[in-house]
Amino acid sequence: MNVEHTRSQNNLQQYQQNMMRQLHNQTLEQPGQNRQQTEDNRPIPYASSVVQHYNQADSGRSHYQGNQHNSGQHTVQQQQQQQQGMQQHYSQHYSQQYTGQVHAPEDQHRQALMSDADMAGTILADLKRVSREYATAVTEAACPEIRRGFNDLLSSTLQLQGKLYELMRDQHMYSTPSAAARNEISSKLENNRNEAGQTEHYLHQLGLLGGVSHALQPYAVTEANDGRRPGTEGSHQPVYM
Amino acid sequence: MMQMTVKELEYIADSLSNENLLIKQCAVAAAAAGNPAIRQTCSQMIEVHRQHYALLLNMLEQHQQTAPGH
Repeated sequence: MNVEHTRSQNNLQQYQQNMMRQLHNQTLEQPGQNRQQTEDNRPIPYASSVVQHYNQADSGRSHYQGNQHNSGQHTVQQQQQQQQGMQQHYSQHYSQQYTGQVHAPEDQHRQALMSDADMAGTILADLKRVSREYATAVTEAACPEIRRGFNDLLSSTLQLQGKLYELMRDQHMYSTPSAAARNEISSKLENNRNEAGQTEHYLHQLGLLGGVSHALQPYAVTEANDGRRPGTEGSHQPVYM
Repeated sequence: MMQMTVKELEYIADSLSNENLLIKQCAVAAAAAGNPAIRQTCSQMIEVHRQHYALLLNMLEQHQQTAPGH
């Protein structure tokens, strides 16, 4: 078991090192800027999060699971060791390249690997996805406490999504959707009113057949129908017509 | 308290991963975004996602005792 673990861990590290090299070549367009650490010790958010990204055996990341032999049994300690090993290699890799630091002005320390809109956009997309998953979890929960927990998480996540969406819209980061045409709305309205009428007719038919009382009628008696209740006269005209 | 089902456990595990990733994504945006409104909103969201994470962990803790086996 020990031998296998070592071998699989070596494979994993090798894989991760190759991936990091590829990423390094892809993302760094301006040599000479030290991305390891900025002058004011601001972290390099995107780069370091990428390191952790490759270290996690997440359930949704099937792309990497082929290389993680002990994906089901990662202990926190193993993960931390991997992360430390990974980060050491990562920092060595960078310090070899960027020994000559350029002390750029304040703005350049926030060198954007990704625009604000894109960063916010990925979060927004994730909030949407997570909301859908929470909704599914609610429907599939057997235990009432767990169901209520997921329901609360759903509400809270939807709230965050709404807030972020509004913020992005106010900051003009979202392309405005086009308005629906009035004739489109009108035709949908008419079609669906007709459908509803037919369904009402169907309900009344069932009501008559089963001898069920007219307490089932959903519409209040109004001046429009002269106080007549459906089914009490010969025609089967729906109440609201 | 009812026993936790296999499916519920899977959903909680997936949700923990999701929340964890969201915490990190918000942290990235809070640190790296140029727009201050984005930075502020994202840093507030970090806290909410941490609470979500704690809630999910709590679900696991609550049902640990009544689970079958050792």
